[in-house]
Amino acid sequence: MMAQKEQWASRVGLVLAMAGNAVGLGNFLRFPAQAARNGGGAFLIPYLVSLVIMGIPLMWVEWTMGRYGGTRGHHSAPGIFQSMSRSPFWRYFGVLGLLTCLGVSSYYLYIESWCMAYAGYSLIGGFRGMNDVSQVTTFFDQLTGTQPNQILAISVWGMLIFAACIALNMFVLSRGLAKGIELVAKIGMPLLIVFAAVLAVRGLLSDPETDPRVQYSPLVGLNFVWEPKFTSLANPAVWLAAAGQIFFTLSIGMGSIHCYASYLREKEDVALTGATTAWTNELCEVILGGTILLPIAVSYLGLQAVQDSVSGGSGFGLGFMVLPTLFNNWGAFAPVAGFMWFGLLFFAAITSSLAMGQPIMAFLQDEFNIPRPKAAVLLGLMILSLAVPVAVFHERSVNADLDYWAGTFFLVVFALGEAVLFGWVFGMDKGWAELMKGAEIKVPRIFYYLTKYVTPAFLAIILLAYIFQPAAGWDGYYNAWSNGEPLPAWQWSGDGMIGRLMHLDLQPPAEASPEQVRFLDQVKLIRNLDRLALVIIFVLFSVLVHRAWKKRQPLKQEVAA
Amino acid sequence: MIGFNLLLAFQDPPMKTSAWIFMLTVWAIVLIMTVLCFWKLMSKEHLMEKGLFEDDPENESDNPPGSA
Repeated sequence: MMAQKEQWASRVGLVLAMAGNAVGLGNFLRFPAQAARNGGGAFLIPYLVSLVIMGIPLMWVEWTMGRYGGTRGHHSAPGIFQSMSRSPFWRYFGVLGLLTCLGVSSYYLYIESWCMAYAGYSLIGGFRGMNDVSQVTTFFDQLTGTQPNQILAISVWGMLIFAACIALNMFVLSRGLAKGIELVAKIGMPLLIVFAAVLAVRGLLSDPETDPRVQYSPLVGLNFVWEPKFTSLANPAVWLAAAGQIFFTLSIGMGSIHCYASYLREKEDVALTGATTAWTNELCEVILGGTILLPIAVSYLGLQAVQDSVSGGSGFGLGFMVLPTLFNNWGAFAPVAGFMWFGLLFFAAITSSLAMGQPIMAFLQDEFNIPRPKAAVLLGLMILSLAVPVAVFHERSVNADLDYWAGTFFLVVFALGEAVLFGWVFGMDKGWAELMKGAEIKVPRIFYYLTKYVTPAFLAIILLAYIFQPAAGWDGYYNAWSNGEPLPAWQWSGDGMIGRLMHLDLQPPAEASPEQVRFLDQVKLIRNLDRLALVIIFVLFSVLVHRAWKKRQPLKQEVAA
Repeated sequence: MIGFNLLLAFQDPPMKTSAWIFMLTVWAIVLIMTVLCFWKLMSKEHLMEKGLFEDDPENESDNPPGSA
């Protein structure tokens, strides 16, 4: 197969593109929500521990694997994994990397299009006068075409913006690494940081002494995030949430880091560059992400209201429904603030969605010699096949289901697989030597053992916790156990893998109307079809991998002869 | 104004001292690590020593396409 001659134009560009891949909506929405939901400051300690024992080692594993596969002509997970083992199992396991990238990008691009729409609407002053959350919710429902208990959610202009967003991503990808992805990262990442810093400073300037609309000092919000509550450290649920956040924030387990790293040369550093990416992500998450949403919301709404609104743990409602109303308290700056908030979310999203598209492009280019512009069109069509159902059905159906399977569960499975491949199949000694090749920092030897033993064990625990999730929550069991009370009876949670398979999160409440029951039945049907589509896509990608490697055999024999 | 808020924070604390210490410590760790990494990464010496992002024919010949 044809080796890619593409290279990153500069190291800053590479780091910004990698950081852009890692910095996503989760940094500004999910992180503060998870911190608020899991006891504020208590969350930060396991979060940082998880960063060191799981996040950074996995980051290095993915960078090292990517560079290793890239120097052997592979830029996507099937080829990269195959280059590290003789067993054909690993190239089919690598298909999961293509599937997650395709699945996640199909709904992630939809959210990205919402950010685009919200940013534009903010700038023209559309949210002015919307001081009630229900008014913004109406705007959102019009944008997505959502109606209560209706499975179809069609909005013409929402779909047009979505189509424009997909087209923009494909255009950037068709321009290649240096002129496309790297250029967007070089523009988007600094703007994102500036926007976030401006909003954080403006939020901290709110003062209840001088502004009657401000109910509390924003420092109350910061206090909530940062007050260390060491008693919560014994709660396994907090550790699980922290490890999950670290996992998702670094964009690990998707194949996108492998792909970007595969464009490095054999002796280029991955240790320092990988660490820089991880710390840049933490800067955007812990310092900037932790200083915008909660302090602003708490200063106007109070702590209790904010805690209630982030109980789901995503922060989406607070960021998309509540914040536009709160910006109206900032007078003439409100439209700019809204534009900056949704603009930074847009930049966070597009740098991540490009990273999800590139591995599939690389797969088509590497294995089938498809030129880049044609590969971009093919990728666009593939995304559309999933994006259309995402856009036309209620967000609780395809969107929510893809978010769980492709955007959560498969990532953990993929990461566990790659940790085993790197540490145990390829071999930790070889892997360590590969990591240290061209390294510009001396990686402490303890990471050798962390990567080999602790990281896979940690991932296995997270995976088991996702599969076997009780309705009472692990903290329910912990609290009962620590208080000497009888443990709650076991019931599957609708948020866990088994509960999801059984549609337990779609059980109608006792007082449900017939329309609601019918709606939930329709959602179940659409989710089943969506899961079938994921299986079919996995099989189709596997067939493509099979054909690509079949074509390679005569080529290898020729080389050997 | 931020200074005033900080001053207030210590007089009638909406933010406890332990929270300040914890926050500033974590911020310092994250900032120092990020700056150190970037400083090292962008150090002119390293860039010159490594001759990065220039053609490296030796590398390409070591790794023939599709040699997995």
